[in-house]
Amino acid sequence: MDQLAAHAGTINAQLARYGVKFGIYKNGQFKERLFPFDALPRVITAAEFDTLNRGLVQRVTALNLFLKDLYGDKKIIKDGVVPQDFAFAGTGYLPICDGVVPPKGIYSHISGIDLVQGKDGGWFVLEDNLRIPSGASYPLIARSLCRRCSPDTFRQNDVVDNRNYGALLRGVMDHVNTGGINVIFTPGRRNAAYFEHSYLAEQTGAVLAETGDLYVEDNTVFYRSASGPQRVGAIYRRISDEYLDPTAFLPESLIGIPGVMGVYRAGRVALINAPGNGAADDKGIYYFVPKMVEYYLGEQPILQNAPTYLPFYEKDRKYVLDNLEKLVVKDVAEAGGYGVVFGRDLSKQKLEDFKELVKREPRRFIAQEVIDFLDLPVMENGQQVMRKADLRAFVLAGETTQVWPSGLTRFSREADSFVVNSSQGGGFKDTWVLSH
Amino acid sequence: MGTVTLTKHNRLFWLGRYLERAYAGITATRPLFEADTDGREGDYADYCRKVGIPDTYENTADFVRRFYFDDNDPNSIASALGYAYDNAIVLRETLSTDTLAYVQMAISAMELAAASAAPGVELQWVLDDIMAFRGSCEETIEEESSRNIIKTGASLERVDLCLRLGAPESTCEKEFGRLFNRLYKTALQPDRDRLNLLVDAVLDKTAPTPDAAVMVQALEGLFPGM
Repeated sequence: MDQLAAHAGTINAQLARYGVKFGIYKNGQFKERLFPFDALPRVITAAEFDTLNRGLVQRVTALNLFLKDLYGDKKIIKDGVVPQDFAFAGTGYLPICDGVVPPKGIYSHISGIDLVQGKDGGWFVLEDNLRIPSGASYPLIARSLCRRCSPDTFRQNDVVDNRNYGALLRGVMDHVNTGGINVIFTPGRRNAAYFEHSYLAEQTGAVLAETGDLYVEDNTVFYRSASGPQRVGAIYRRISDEYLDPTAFLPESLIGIPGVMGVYRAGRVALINAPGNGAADDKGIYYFVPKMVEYYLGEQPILQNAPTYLPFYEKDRKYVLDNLEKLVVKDVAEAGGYGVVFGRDLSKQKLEDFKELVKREPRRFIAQEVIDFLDLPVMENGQQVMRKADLRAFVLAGETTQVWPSGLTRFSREADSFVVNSSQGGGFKDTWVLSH
Repeated sequence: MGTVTLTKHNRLFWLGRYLERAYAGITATRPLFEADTDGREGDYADYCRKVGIPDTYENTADFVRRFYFDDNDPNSIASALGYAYDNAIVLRETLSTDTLAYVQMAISAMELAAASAAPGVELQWVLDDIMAFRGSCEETIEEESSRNIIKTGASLERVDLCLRLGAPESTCEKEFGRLFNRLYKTALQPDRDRLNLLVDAVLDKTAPTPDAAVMVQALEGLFPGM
């Protein structure tokens, strides 16, 4: 590990060479930044990964069953396990998807599950991302470059190879493909995750398409290739539901594929991930995921949620209002580290104002105990410092549901900060899974 | 040709043009760079006039500083590399990450040159990276048409500069030969009248050679819509 730290400069030079960047809008200007990388990896032992693996597969399987049920028979609602108010009130639920079963019945093909490790070693799920979770490409390319810069490190440590992500993703695309080419559909160069879109296209051998490259004719999606139209069988779309099809969602969207929802509803193209998945990764629905595991699988959840309260419920609301100063409150409609308020950071007046807001809009928020999660060592100016870090694990559902033996470890670059998002200045590490 | 769209054709073409603009810009202005090193004034105004860029420079030193390194100057070498990158970054799956890296490296070398006390050394790296990019294209781009579109863009830019700078007839003929040879290996659709004018000008020794400005105009309009 020290060898890797010694090669940090070379590794970062390699990351710059390969343009490992993310985009950010600041003051209305688009800028690309190198994603700060820390050479010291997060290390997960084989035994630890075994638990994570089983827990993540269990969780994503339950979430896929929930989506199938929610857009199908709605048994979980009828049985009162998930209240109707929560199931249908969020913006993630799309009535247009009601009754639609995607190819092979898979809704969340690529799930990004955010976890933190407590100081006692136990893992907690913080968030499920079932729409278009990003980040796998960063540890994927970083691993290749780290191996190049410090081969001895990898000779001396039994690290499970993570460079198969492209093949796994390709397998998922092929499995649900309805006939035709695989496409990764990007909103374009100015998207924050454009590096990832283009890199994954290269890694999977899929075509990278953008606005205008895809069109619908005869209830079929075609790619406008220079040698003539090519039928498209699977679209890994890196564009939000609301922009996906202007004839079905936001009519002012200029970046979508007009008519694609009709083709999808007819089962003639696979959309990865399925539209409407936001109904299951709403921060409010998160509260119910352990109950889904019990309901659909008849099993006890292997992975725990962080202790969470729903102000929607009177009992929880009272607790939240009485203890706001020690809780973290999240706006269920926000993502990327936005809409997160730590009660301890609020002035007395702001705390009171926020309580009023929670009373007025209880469905809008969830509150969680602040987990004092494990700090990880990070190199800063040649010194090791300890920083908060989370882990985004990637679960791929195709012929089987499997966990990529790696993940994106994001860390805060500020001492005492819990915010690790890249859009908020966080950095990333590789995630090693040991083979023993 | 397979899975390349017309939009990508356009990008490949301009990627080739902008990289050549950077490459040829550095090599063609070397005498001005040398003059600045010697503390002499060079005829940068003549260069600006010939290549059709506004002469907004105060003296040779200002020309060298801004024409090479100022990415706010749309006619600078740094800007040409930036435009090349803008086209390359949206072609990763066609070019490959390894090939794309050479464009990034040329930009990084340019940035180092701008901050260096001996920029000539770093500029050599810019040229090396562009050449490495071309070699890498040969190895990694599977579709012959795509490879030749990049080369066609580069060739067109080179011929354009040769005509504008009044290069010897033999040099112009050689570069035209390369352009025609590459053009026919692509799926690009040139304007037939303009192409005929250029082909006649180069190959028909019995007819009077058109004025260079007429040929430049034909070159610039050779691919309508690009």
